[in-house]
Amino acid sequence: MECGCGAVGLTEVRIEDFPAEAEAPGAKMLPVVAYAPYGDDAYAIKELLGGDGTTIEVCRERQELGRALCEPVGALLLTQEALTGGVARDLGEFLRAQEQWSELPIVLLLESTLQLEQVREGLQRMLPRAKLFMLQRPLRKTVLASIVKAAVAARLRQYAVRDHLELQETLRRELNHRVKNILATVMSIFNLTKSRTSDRDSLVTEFQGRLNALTAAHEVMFAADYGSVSVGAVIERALAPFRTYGSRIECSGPDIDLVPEAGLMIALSLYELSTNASKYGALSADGGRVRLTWDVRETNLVLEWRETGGPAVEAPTRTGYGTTFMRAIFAQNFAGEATLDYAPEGFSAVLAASLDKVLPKP
Amino acid sequence: MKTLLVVEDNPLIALSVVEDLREAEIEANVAHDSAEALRIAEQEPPRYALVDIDLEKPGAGIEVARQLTERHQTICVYMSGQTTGTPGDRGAAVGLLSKPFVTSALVTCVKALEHFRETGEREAGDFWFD
Repeated sequence: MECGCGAVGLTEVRIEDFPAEAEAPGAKMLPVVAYAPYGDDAYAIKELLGGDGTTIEVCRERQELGRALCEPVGALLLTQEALTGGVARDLGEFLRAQEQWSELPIVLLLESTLQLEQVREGLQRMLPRAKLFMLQRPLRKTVLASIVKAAVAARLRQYAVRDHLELQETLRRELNHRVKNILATVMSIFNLTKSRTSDRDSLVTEFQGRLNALTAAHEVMFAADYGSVSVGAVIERALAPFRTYGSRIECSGPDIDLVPEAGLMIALSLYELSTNASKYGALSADGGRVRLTWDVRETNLVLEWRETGGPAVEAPTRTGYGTTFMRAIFAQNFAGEATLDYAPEGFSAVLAASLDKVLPKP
Repeated sequence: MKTLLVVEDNPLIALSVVEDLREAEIEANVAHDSAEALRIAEQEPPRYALVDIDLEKPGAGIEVARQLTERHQTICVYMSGQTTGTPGDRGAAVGLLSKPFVTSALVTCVKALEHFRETGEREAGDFWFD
């Protein structure tokens, strides 16, 4: 049995050299390695433990033992005679090199003449970071079998801990990645806002408003566990700060699930539209109204924002943040279009996004 | 003719990067995914590219940088919140602009790439790979 670490002796053995199959070893796949260099011990052990489903791998030589330990192992079974100076040294090095989660179970078969209390400490020093089971011969077959089973069960729990630690590390990296992306987004919002405001007060108000909108959108994403989000939930949360306008804002459309990115961008677009409406548009005058509808049309998701009853509309002289933002998003990221219409009787915006880009992949 | 290509799928970051560059009088094309990046590069081969590592899927930018370098001899720098730990992750790029970055770091990086292309010298900057 050749292993990836190319070890000839135990000195080169490293637990991290476990092959890919080591991912989630089941009890059946975890062999018990028995090191029995002398006489008929090996057969006796096989005889003792075989037949109850445990895989026994017998090693007769030191090198063989080194290779066997490169693979996932349930437990190591050793007789007292087998634990010579060289083997003990090899094993000690292997055990010290174990990963933090690993504590190889070793079942030691000792002579009955030995005073356990006297050798226990020495053995523990010799085999550090091992889970030692010390047994004295003669031994009933059933006792040995149940100890070995307990050792393998303990080993399985160690692998479970390893998997848990790995998952935690993956999540930690993912979190770092997400935080940096969010910070980069915040930095971009700041830059884009800064270049479009001429005084400190409006920079502060506008930046804070956009940051709030981003926060609100993230709450929706978080609630959906960064999976698909319902367009209705996104819209409701995005327009929540404008609830004071009551029935002057009217929304209707079917419930459609979107990818988180689409939900986020729609939320940020609605923030721009509603803020503008309350500053200059229909919501800035008594009696003005906004109607937001959305639906699927052919291959697009289309959102329509229509203002009526507000002050006479004049097209702005320069392109603001919201316009730049919505045009870029819907054209470039959602393979659609943002059409803004400054009709004198009321502003309207039609935001079209290709379903390909906004619907979760089945 | 624009000599710089920015490949970034986050629309806000893409907008901001292009605008920041424009203020420094550097014009750039923008691509929002791998396919668009390669399409734009065919029409207007970029000398330099800033490539987000995670496009349609994590790590997709590494392949984009590889193809840009191979087909157009583009000098590529990644943009990412990740830190590419091992040389194996680095692929064809010469450096990494760590997100989030400030405007001055962005402009310094692009100017250093221009200098690098003309002279082969690496001006001081913490975005270069070793």
